[in-house]
Amino acid sequence: MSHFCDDGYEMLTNRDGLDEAAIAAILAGGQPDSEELATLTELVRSIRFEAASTKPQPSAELAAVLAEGLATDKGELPATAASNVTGPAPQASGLPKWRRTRAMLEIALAKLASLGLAAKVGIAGAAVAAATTGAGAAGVLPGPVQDAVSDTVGAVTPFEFPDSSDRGGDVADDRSGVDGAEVAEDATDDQPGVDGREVAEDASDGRSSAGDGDLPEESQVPDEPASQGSEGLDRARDTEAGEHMPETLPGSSDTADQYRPDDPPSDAPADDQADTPDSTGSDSADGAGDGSAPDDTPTDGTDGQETADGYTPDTVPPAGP
Amino acid sequence: MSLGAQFDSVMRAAQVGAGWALTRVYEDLAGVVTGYLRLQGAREPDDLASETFLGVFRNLSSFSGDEDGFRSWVFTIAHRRLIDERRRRSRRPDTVPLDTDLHEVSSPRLVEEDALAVLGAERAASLLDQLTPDQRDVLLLRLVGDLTVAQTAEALDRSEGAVKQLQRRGLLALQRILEREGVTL
Repeated sequence: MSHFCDDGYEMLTNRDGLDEAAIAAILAGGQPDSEELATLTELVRSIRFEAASTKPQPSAELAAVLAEGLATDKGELPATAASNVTGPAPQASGLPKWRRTRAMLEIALAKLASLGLAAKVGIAGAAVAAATTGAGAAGVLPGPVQDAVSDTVGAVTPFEFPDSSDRGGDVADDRSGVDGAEVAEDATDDQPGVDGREVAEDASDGRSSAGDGDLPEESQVPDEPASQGSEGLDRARDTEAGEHMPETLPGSSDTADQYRPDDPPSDAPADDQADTPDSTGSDSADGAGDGSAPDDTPTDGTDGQETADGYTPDTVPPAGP
Repeated sequence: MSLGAQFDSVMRAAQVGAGWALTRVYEDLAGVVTGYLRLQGAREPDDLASETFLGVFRNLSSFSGDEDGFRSWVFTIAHRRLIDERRRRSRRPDTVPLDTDLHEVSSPRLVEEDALAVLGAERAASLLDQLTPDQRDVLLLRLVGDLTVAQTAEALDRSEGAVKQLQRRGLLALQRILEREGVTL
């Protein structure tokens, strides 16, 4: 009587004393429950032993591959015949430079991975020592470490490494130079210098470069400051824009200092005025109220304000003397 | 013997053609592959094993998987090389004389004297030769190659059910041969 499963194959029953459990035991080399299967189990063990004890003898072609490796990028073996066991010329089978580098790196990593723990620790120690020496030569180690490295190298070699006293770390501690605090004091005192008020006057003296971008021609821009009065006006009339010049300018002999409020409101600093969209140079301390530019000159006050803003401190000092 | 934890590093180096890694792979599997081919009745098992490993090394870059998968892959290539050799032999029958051990195995007296404990490779091959080719293929891949049922099915391009059935029938056939020849322990 046959027993068939769904796929048409005979079911593995125990009618022959060889069910799946017995088969698994025999194949695993174990001892089956039935004595009838002992001989079969012994045969299986013998087959497995004989196969495992086989000593293979590689062919000449395979021996060359095992000895020299395989050029995997071209899919060709380094040796293709017994008479050519040393392989073709290097340029025919050699790896491309990038591939050779990558292969060497991978092989090195593989060999490193196969090393013992002690060897790995030794390699890591050597790498740390080399890195420390290099950093010591450059003088970039922390102070105590740099001193120790410098002393050690100086003791055992004829070379001298810099120590912590030789490097520029002290410069950072020197506050007598051009540091931020010094500048800040100069910018905020009331003395003539690079303080905000002085800059604001420079920006309003008609020599501001802010309007350069909007002037039609550089040659039409008066070279002299507005404080020189009618001379500048006369020179302006000589330009092509001279026909647009007014006959008289209000307060042409005055500087823009006249238009600077003596006491700027505390809640309206110069920056705020400059940011006002409709503010013009004529009513701003840092505008173009220099009397030298004609009214319809494309130069507008906002350009001057923008430049002057760059020199204007956030807090406007009280009006100077 | 197996590569174990070193398998990944050795395989990476072997895939870029490093000779030392190819040697490790060969030393790990060459013995059992050659034994498999010998028990399968290959005429020149050493040469066939060398052809197998050359094919393995040429295509090593296409392999991905663990050590068990690699072992299965190598035995699949070995089995295909064996089939190619059988086809060549069928087209050009060789004139190698029959092995006299075949007659010795068939002699109950000699078999009893030698006992299965000292069964040599040639005698094992002679016993296996009495199986059908399919039964022999399955049993040797399972026994020598240590392939699972699924791996054996893939190597032979058969279903797992067919492999289990061939495995069982092959073992039963061997048991009957041993009983018939009077070998008992």
